[in-house]
Amino acid sequence: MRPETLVFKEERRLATKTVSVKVDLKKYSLDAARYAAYAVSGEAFVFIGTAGKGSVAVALTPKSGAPGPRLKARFIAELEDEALREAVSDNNRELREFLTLKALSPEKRAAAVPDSGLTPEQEKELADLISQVEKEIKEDVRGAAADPLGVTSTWEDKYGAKKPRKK
Amino acid sequence: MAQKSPAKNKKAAPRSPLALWEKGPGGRLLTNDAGCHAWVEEKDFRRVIAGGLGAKDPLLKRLSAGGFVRERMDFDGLADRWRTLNAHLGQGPGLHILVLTLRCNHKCLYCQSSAAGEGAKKTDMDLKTALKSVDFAFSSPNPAITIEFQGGEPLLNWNVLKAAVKRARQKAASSGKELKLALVSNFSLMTEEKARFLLAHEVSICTSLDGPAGLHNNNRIFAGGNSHAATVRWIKYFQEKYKKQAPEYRVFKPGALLTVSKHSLPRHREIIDEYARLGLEDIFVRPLAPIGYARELWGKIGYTPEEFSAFYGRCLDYIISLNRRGVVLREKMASMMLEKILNATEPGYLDARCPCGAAIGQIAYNHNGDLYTCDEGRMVGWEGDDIFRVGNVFRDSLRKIVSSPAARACVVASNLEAQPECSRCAYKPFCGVCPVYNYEAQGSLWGNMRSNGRCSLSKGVFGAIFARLKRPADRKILESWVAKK
Repeated sequence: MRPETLVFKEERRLATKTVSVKVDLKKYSLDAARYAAYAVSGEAFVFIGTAGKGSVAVALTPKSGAPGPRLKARFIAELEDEALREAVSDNNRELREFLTLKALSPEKRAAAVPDSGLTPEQEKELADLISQVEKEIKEDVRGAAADPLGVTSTWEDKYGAKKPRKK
Repeated sequence: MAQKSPAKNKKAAPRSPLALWEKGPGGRLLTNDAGCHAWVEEKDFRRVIAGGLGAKDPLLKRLSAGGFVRERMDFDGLADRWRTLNAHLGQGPGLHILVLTLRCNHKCLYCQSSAAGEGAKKTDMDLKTALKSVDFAFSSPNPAITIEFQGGEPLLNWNVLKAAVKRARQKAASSGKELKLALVSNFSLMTEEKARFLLAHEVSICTSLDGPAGLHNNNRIFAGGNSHAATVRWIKYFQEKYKKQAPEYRVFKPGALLTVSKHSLPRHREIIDEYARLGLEDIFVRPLAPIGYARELWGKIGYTPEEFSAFYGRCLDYIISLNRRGVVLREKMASMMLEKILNATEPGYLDARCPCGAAIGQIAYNHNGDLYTCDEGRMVGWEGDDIFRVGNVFRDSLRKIVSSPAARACVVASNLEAQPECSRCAYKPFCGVCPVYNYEAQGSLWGNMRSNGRCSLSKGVFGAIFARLKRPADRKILESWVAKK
């Protein structure tokens, strides 16, 4: 048998096992359909196509022996779950961003610095100086903008050379 | 954790909690970005998700304490947990793996380190490369670095190992950087003289121990003698030195690694008993990965993720039962995950980070000075595919290595927020994906988590840990593994 014939036969065999689910985009978002499709992608080849206005058709072709109806039921269950996860995620997006930003902000580290022993005037002078330097650093595109966490800096860049410790 | 007063939010509409979830035994496990977790029964789940908990509901107090109720959040406390859980961000490479030689006198069934025969001296790292590698490691902005000497069998290149250790200690003294030195050896070439040198320079020692003699020697074939006997002899030697300590230097407890092959699966008790018999306090139940030679032999030595998960669960239960009888023994993978789950601390396990440690957390230095994202990436290179090569120790700067295309690709591919399955997974705050595994097993750095063996295996491990955390008696023992002293 010629290879093309084998490929054709395989395509036909798979096509007969394919099940299709129509997803109403008024009820579910396209993202939820995509996530649900990914969730069954271990067991099936998934193809998402348009199906008229306001809906998509999700074609599921089992990779192995999984029966089509079971696959369809799994996809629908995943779709429901994804819709719920999406709603929770949307409800909390701003809160998550706020918490992450708060965790990454240097505010906490600054607060942990012990009393410097400077007068309020000296503190302000120092703060102005630091803010000026920080501004200059920000303008240095090669440095801060490209590597805000300093991961690519060398030890000497970050901390300078230290004297040997006394034993 | 101090909480916001609910009174101020009295009129606010109920909102769904900030949570990811996973189905578990008898309910749902909820987690959040700060690494808090809580169990809710299936019957309560919908009510919780809908934000429908009344002020007097006992669930409200429990979920509030975990940062799940958005009207009662301790922002400072949650941000602190997030920060410590992700402390690796911005630290720079901390683990530096020097592959001193690819030669090895063992021929292990599952060898993942792509070792060469004992005669292949061209695969030895020369002195110049070793010293340059040590200097390079010290250029990392990370204030605490670990240099790990690996192979092949690193003791086959003893003089270079010795010189690298001395150089590293000198550099640590002059830079003020915290330094840990570690040697991974099969011990077959260990001598009193070598052991004394390693102890005096505070090199921690780790070996492989696959269980009792029969199993170990079956996995770790050593033509020159009895691998198990040599391993046990030197474990006892270093244990003895650890107990006695020394006035001039710190002596570390020796460690051992278990590699689980198909032959290990029915013998969990014997393996664990062997570790306990030798007084080892940690056992790292490590799965095989289909990387390097192991991939070729997967049919003979490999197993399914489900088989490993079941084995892992049996191991945990048996170790917990030994703990109840007073034996001090911890499972290392569980300990590291418990550090995250219970203490919100990053334990330095580079395989389970977001993003993964590739180049930004670790660098593997090959014998010829080529640099790789990690040791697994180096093994792929040895097979002829240099996709994970990030540069060369003589030619490239740290900046160039860390921002190399391979490093960037690995960082992007291992960002769990961008992985469709991981971004929704309850284990996300504690987990990590491996682009090298994905590439080797599934043909792309991203992989497909729904059919990814490593993902199934990780889910199995997390499932086993959380199921035991749910049982009060087991939880008490697991908590003791990571209790702050």
